[in-house]
Amino acid sequence: MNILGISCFYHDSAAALLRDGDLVAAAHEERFTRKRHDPDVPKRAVEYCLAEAGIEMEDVDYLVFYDKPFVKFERLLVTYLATFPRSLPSFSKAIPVWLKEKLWVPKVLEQHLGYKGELLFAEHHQSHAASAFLPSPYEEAAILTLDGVGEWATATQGVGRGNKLELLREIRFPHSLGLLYSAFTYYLGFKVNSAEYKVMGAAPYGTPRYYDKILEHLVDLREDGSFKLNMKYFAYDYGLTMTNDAFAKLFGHPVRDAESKMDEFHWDMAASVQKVTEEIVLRIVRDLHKRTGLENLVMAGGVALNCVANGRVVREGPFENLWVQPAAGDAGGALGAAMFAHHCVLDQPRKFRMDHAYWGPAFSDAEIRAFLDARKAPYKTYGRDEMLRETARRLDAEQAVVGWFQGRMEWGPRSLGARSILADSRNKENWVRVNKKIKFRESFRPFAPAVLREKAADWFDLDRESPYMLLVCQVKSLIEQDVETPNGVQKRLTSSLPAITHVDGSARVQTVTRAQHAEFYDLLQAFDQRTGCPVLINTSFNVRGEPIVCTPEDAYLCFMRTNMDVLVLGNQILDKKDQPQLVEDFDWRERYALD
Amino acid sequence: MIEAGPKPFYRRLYEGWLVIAGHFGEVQTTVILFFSYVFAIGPAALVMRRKDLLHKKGLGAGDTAWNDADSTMPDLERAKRLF
Repeated sequence: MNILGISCFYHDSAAALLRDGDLVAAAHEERFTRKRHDPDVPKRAVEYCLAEAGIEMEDVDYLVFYDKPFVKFERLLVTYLATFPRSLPSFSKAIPVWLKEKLWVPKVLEQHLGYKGELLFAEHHQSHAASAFLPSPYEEAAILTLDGVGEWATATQGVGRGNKLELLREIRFPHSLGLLYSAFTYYLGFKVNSAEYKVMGAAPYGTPRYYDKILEHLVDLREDGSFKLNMKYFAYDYGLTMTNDAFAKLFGHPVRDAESKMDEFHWDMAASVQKVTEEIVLRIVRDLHKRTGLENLVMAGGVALNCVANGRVVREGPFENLWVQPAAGDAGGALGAAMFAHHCVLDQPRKFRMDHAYWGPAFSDAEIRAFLDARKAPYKTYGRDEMLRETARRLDAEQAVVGWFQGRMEWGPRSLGARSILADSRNKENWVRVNKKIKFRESFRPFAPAVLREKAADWFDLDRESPYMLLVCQVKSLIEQDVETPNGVQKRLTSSLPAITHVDGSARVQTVTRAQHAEFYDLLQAFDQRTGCPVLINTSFNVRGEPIVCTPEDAYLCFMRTNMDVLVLGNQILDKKDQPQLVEDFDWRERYALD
Repeated sequence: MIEAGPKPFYRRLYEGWLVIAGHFGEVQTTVILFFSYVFAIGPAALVMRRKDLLHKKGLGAGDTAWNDADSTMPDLERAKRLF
C-alpha cells in the first residue's frame, strides 16, 4: 500500500511517501524549486517521491493532506467576527486566496498532481503528533506539539501507544507560544515563519531583562504551563503585522528595521523571549509527565525546533528520553499525515522507526561526472578512502572551507552531512570567514558542530545522541576570554573549539554514527586521526536566503558564487582555483531574498 | 531557431486590455470584499459583540488555559472529511 502525505499552502511545503508503512522518500519542495520556504503544492517533491519508489501517481492508494481546511476557515471567520472592524485589511488579503485555492484542496491537488484517488485529511496537530510519535523509537510516549496555529489548536498534550495516539488537551488560538515567538521575531526585524532561529541565536548576546515584563503584561502563565496572551499588544489576529503600537509603547522602542544594527535592547529582547519560551515549555513538559507518568517524550511543531529549549527539557525535565523528528515543523506534517492515515485510520501495525534523516534524492558518481564534464569543470576522482583522507587534509592543513555533497539529501531544515559546508572547528577565524565570506549572513550567528557519536561526551556536556542537531548543550573545558561580539569586545566563554562555541559556551551538536551516514562519519574519523579532534563545523550548504542545495548543479553554483575553497561531490574533488570563471547573466544575490 | 517577429497590433491591443482589466478586477474585488465584510461579517459581529469568541478574557485564579482535545477515535469516514 502506497500512502503519500502532503503539506502545503502556508510555508515549507513537502511530500513524504510510505510503502507498506515504511518511509521511502521525503523532501521539501523548496529544495527543487529553489524558492525558500516554498508554500505551493509540492509538485516537484511528489514527483521525486514517486520516482524514488518507482511508481506512478495511479499507484498511490491514499493521498493525505496535513490539515482540515474547513476547520481552519471556520477559525478565520470567527476571528474576523471577533475583531470587526479592525480586521478589514486582513480579510481583504486572506479571503481571495481562500476562495480561489485553500477551500478547494481536492480540486487543487487533482489539478496540480493529477491525483484522482482517495483523499484523506488529518488535523494539523494530529499530523504533528503522528510525525513525532509514530516514527519514534518508543512503543509508548507522551506527545507534545507546539507551533503557531493549525486549525484551532496551538499546543497539544497527548499520549502515543503502539499504533495509536490520543490528544488529551490543547491550547487554542489566539493563545500561541509559536505566535508569541514569531511576534518577537517580527518586532526584532526578522522574517516571520523563517528567521525565528535567528532570535534563538541572538539570545545569548543579551540579558533577559524583559522576562518579568513579558510575564506581567503579555503572558498570563500558569503552573501547568498553560497560558493566555494579552491580545491588547498583538495584531496577528486582526492585522497584517504581528505586534501593534501598544507593544512598541510597552517596550519603548519601535519595530526594528530589517538589516539595521542590533543594539543592546534587541539582544536583551531576544534573550527575554527565549527565556519565557523555555519556561513555558518546561512547565508544560513537567505537567505532561505528571499526567502521563511516562518516561519517553516526543515533540513536534515549529517550537520543537527550538533546540535551546529542547536542551533544557533533556537536562531539567522529568522525562528520561526525548525524541524530536528532524522535520519537526510544518514540512514534517506531510510525514505525520501519511503515518496517521496508515496507522491510526487504517489500523496498520507500526514497524518503521526513523533512525536517520536522509530521505531525499542521491546522485551517483557517474551522474556527478556527467554533470561536471558537461560543465567543463575540472575535477579529480579519488577512491573512497583516498577522497576522505584528501578532504580531511584540506580541512586541516589548508584550513579549507569545503562544500560536502554525499548521498541522499536531508529531510528537515538542518544540513546533517549530506549537503553541508564544513570547516575546522578549532580555528576561531572560521566563524567570521564562513559567516561573512561564504554564507553572506549576519556575523552574530553561531555555527553548529558535528562530532563522532562515541567521542561526543569528551567534547560536549552531552550524555545522549543528537543526530538531528536539535539539542543544545555546553562545550567542555570552557574558558573566559575577550571575545569580539556584535557589541564590541566583551568577556565571553570560549573553548578549544572556538568556531562552534557560542558566546554562552553552548553548541547545537550533531552526533554522527556510521550507521547514520558512513561517509560523513568516516570523514570525521579521518579528521580525528590527523588532528586528534573529531569535531567539524557543519553548516547548511547554501547562502543566506537560498534553500539548501539539492543537485550537483546547485552545489557547484553555490561553490562558485562564494569563497568556498573546495567542493567534494561524491568521490570527485574540485579546487576553486582550477575552475573557469562562472558567467551568469543575472545577479544571484537578487534571486535569493534575504531571510 | 525561429525568431519571433513583432507582435501583431490586435495581439498588443488584447494584452494591453488584459492589464487594464486586471486593474479593474482588483478594484472590483476590493469593493466586493469591502461590502462582504461590512454587510456579512459586520451584522453578525454586532450580534455577537458581547461574546468572547476568541476567549481573550483573562484567566481567573486557579484557572487553566488547557481545553479538552477531541478524543474521538479516527476512522476512514471522518478522515475523508475536510472538517
